[in-house]
Amino acid sequence: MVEERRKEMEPGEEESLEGGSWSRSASLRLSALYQHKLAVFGALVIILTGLTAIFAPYLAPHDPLEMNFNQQLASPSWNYPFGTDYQGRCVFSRVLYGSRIALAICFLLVGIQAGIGVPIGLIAGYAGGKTDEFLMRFTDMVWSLPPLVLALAFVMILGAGIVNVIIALSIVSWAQFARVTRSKVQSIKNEEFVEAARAAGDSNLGILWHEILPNVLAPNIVLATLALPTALLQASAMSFLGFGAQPPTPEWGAILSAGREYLRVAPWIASFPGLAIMIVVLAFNFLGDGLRDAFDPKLRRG
Amino acid sequence: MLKRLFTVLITVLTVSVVIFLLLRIVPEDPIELMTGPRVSDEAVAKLKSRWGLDKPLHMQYFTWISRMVQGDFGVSIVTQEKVSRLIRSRLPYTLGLTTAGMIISLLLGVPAGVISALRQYSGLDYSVTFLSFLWLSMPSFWLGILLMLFFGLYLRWLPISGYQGWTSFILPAFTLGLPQLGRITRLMRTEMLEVKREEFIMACRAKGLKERTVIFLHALRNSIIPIVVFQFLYLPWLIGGAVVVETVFSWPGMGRLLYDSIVTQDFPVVQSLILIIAILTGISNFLGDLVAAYLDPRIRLEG
Repeated sequence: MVEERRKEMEPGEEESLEGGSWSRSASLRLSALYQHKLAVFGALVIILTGLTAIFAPYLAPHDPLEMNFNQQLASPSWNYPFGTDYQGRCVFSRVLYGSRIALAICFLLVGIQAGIGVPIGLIAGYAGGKTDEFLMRFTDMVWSLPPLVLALAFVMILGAGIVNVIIALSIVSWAQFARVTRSKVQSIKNEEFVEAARAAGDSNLGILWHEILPNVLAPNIVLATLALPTALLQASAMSFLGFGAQPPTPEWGAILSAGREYLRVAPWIASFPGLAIMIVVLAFNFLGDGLRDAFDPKLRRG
Repeated sequence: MLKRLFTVLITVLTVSVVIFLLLRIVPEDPIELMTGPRVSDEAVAKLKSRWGLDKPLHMQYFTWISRMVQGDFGVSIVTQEKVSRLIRSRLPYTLGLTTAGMIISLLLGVPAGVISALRQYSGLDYSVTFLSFLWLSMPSFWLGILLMLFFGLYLRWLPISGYQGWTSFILPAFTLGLPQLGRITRLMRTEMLEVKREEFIMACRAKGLKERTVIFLHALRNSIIPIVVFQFLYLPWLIGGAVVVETVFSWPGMGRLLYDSIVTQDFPVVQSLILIIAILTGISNFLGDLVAAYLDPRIRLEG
């Protein structure tokens, strides 16, 4: 259907059907991103973290769950680079394996947030009127409430565990995706290429899918990159409080929480997982900031 | 203005309904939780009618909310203490801590952002930018533990847990304030850079005003509006952060109380705390709007 219409269009109108010259200027923007040194640095760190997560079994000197009661609370050494914990487990190996859980949580959580927020924003922006007002009132309400506090209430009911933390945190923090998507939809829904699709008899769903959705992707990708570090911080905070990943799991917040009791005798247990969280969050922030500058300077105000 | 107040009210009401439903329907029978399984049915029925749990749900809600409005927040299941008294004893500590954190982030963040913007692309600008990213990327529980290790256990300068006089404020307040400091610095720099290029600043310069006057009297005044609004809008996140920070430092505030009550499944306390936090959030959003309107007469308070 859409393909047929494209053939009938004049060559000059082709571009507006694609939704402006986005794809052409994208390469320009990517080169601007490359010049953003911090963003490149951030991207490299994230790729490294990804590789660590994939090759953790080969990189880790020990099994992250293997206990060694001759080596309890040993200080960092050649054999145990980050020392050992109270059950003689290798903290270095646990932190390496933790990157798997950290990345999985981040992407899953932000994916679900976008999965809730983007459709709401699309419908609100496209439908307008009462639907828009109702959905946006609801969105603003969710947006104005303290996410961590509400998530704690949900976890109290659902029970502790990583999956429940992901559910709770996504229920409370999708609002920004809806807001950004809606404002983008509002700015393009009366553009010519949408009118053209409407005139050609496309259904509303078809217009949303083929014409509007591709255009809201860019700001949402930027927003998602900026939401990833927040997601990691919040999820690991939940684990730190004891509501997320449960003990033997090598999750960074959980390792740190267990290490708190041994702060005086073995400060390394609590220190290294925190450092890992900070490095990954920092890298995501650098990348997100660069992406925002390159693709969507207006988001800065959001 | 009235419409905004109305929105705040609607939000608080909705939260109250959600919180009521969530904590009343979903968890296990609260009576069983209180008494354990070895209690006769009659005793359970008696308790149920005492707590109003035998009535239909919407009636339970109205009873609960009208009591809440009158300041009767019920009794803690765990300690049998009055929830209102519990909260009243904890509230000042949390308000004090969040205020101290906000002040730290403003006092350090605003000058840092201004300097960074005035010396754009200098070595100083890059260091400030890097540092502010560092602050806002630190997990607060880790930052708290590091500060505790260094200033509490190693140097032994400051108390690390509980409240023992004003020095107890220092470590938790910085733990709460430093990530916020990173955000404020970034925002202040952006705003200052934008305002610097605006026409009225050029006009001030053209009039022959001193550069210092232009920056501090005109540019700063205009770029600080979003900062103040941001500070108020960000309060919910700060309160969320307070739960973590108070847990790390065993701070006797509402965040710690919330954590403890969730662990012990003390639902009257959790309900009341979340409702109060929602109200505080609504008030702070509203205040943010008010301050914005006061500082910038162009912002109208309609809609």
